[in-house]
Amino acid sequence: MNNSTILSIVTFVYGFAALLYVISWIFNKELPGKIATWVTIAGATGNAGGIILRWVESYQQGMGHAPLSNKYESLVFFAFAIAVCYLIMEFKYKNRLFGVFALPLSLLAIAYASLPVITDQLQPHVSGTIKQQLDAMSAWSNVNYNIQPLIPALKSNWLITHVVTCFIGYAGFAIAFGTSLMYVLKAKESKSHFFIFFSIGTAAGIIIWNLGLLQIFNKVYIDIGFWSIIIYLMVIIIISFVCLQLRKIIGTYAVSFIGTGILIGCTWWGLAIKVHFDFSFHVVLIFIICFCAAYLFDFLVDYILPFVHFPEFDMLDELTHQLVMFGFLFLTIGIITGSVWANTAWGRYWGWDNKEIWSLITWLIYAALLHVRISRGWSGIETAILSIIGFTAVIFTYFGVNYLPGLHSYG
Amino acid sequence: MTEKKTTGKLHPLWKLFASGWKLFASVKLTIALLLILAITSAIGTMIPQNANHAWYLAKYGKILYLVFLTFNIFDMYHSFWFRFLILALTANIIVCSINRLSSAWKIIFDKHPKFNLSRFQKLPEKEEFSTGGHADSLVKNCETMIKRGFSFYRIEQQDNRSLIFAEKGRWTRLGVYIVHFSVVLLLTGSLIGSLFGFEGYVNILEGETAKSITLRDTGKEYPLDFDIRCDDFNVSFYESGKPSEYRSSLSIVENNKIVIKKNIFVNRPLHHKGINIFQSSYGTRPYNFKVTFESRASGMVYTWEGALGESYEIPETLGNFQLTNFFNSYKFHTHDLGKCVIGTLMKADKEPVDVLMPLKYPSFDRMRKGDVFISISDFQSKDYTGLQVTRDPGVPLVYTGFLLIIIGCYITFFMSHQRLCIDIHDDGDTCRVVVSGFANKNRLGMKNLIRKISKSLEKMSTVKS
Repeated sequence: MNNSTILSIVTFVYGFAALLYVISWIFNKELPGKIATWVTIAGATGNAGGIILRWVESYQQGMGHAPLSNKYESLVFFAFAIAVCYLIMEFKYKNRLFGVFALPLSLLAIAYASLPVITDQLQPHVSGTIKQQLDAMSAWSNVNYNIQPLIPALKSNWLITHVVTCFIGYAGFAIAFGTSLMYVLKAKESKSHFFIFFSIGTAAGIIIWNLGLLQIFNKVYIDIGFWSIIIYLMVIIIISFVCLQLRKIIGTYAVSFIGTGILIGCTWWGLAIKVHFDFSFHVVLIFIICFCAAYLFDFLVDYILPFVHFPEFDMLDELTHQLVMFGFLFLTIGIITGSVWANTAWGRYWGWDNKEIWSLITWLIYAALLHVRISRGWSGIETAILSIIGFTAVIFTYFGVNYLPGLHSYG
Repeated sequence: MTEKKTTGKLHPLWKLFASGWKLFASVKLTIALLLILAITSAIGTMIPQNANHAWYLAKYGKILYLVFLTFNIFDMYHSFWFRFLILALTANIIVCSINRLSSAWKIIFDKHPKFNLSRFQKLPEKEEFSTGGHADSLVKNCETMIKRGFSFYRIEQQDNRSLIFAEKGRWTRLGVYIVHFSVVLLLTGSLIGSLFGFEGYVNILEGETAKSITLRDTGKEYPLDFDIRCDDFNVSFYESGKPSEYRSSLSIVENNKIVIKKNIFVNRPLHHKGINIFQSSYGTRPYNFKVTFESRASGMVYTWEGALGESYEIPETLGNFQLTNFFNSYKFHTHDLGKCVIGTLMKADKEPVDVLMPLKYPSFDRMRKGDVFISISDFQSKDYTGLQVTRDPGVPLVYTGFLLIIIGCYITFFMSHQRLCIDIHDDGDTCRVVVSGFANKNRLGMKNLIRKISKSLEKMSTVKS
């Protein structure tokens, strides 16, 4: 049995645990929650086992390095860190409710790592455009699970410390994102902001989706123009505002439909300024998906959320704070170790590299969050919103930086 | 606070200072500055920094280019306004810290801390229990327990009531100031580095010696106190073909004497006289290009041997040809042409033309359909090592800041100033015990601590009686 077999089993274990947490949450029952805890422990143990086995295997294959050197390995460790952090918080606060928002993140991380790699064996008979598309797709989901030898820059004692501390920090932020999301969903005042959250979320989703599609079909990273981004953002804000006002007058669903439609149209237009499209089928598909999402979302807000119980505001706020402080300490150590490492490798501790800048942005956002509490008149909801924004910055630091224009493209 | 009372009578300049002080003492300003820094930092990652200005002009158009140029967006992390933001944040940190430190100082270094009983009694979270045990033994139990966990305690007796006050972690209130101080330290360190340090590079061919380096920011030559000789350069590869290690054997030569001889690798640099030498790149420097010119009009073939930067006057007044660039791999319309040489062909009455000459495809230049067809048949090359050479006197300060910020964050986040009060009422037959307390942060942790203390007290008293 090799490490990737174990890790793909762990994916299902995490999935099962997440399901149990959801069941326990929706039906308000103790037992599935208790089982979920044990399943999570089993998953985390298996995850740790997989990592250790991979370490051993790398020595057997004559490379001998800690399994923290590429995207696959970091994702696997990320999943492990989230699960362990969550378990610690569960024991400390004797509360299982936020497992619903924590375990799925663990699952997502390890599931993304386990995406199948499209190899030439899988596609011996295809050629032409289809082959091109498959090639591009494998570049997109290219989370190579093979153990690879270290490139010279990674041969350092700092590698383990740097990666481990960064990802422990990210794990703290990930769970804090979960608790903040609960806070926002629970908070009355945020209901009026839902549409804005939602429209920006959809827009971001569509842009990412488009980028993905383009990467698959045209094998190029599109370079959205500066003006179109600015105009597009302004249009989103105006439309969101108008929809919000309309929503009060007309009612929910109609506006959701119209608003989403216009938003998607604008996204498309915003992208179409720069890029020529010929796959209109996908345009229609995205429209339909987003209509359904809008409908579902409003339904959720009006009919489901009032009946689902969340932890108390104080509890959620305290959890978010504790987790952010934990994450912030480790992110700080992570940035510092990276900095010291850069100084021993290249003779500079800070070089305004895109990855460095984005980790700094993350650090700044969470630093702002930590000051919210001592600022008069601000508290829970501001903390929650900053925590959500902070986590998107984390995700961007992790996955997004490689898509920025520039010369740096390492993982 | 004191400024408010005094400003009325004082000099206008002092008034200005006071209002500035008030502005920078605001935590909301801190949050705003942190977020503005976060947002503006993102701009520089969307727009490539320090690229060619012709490229910027082509990409963004004239208007946007001028706007960006005005705000120094193309080198925004060193721009005036970005530095101003950092300076404002520093001022904000310092003012806020000074403002709050005085009150924290009073609490931390108070030799006779006051315990306000009513404050404890008002707390919503208390643990209470009654026990049959004797009050005196209970107080003793408390004392032994408190002694272990708390740095300071005091017992007060009132008629039938004993009050035990205890506290610990007063000094942890300093944690946040340590963090703020270390941020200032970091910024100071980086300022010293940028003022008194340098960052440069030098490429040295195997067997050759460099006496100076090229600075990265200005492109100027910078002479060194010593010579760097590259005795050998070597790249080893994995079986997969990926590089495994870059190694340069360097000698530091002073007054014709070798002072240091060392192999350097990526991540293992050489330090000498406060100057650090890093393995950063490598390459081959080509020379002796064999260039062939074929005239379309006469069919004559001329050959010439030259190096990059050298030029050649082609006979038949076909123009002046200069070798300008060499690439190990060159992409032409997504197709990799491999090793390529680029030259410029200049004719008196015409625009200069760039000529691309791939070594793999000698007839490539025929596509240009010019008066003369140029190709390169061969060249010789030598390995060179690319070294990064830096000096940064700010590093000790920055590293101290790194260490302090970690310690400070730990203290600030995970330690707190905890105050505890155990109130023991002797009602004759039974004793009523109330445990209460508060901390300056981590309320949930304090709640747990109170519960724990109360539980163990209850257990101890029942066991004894």
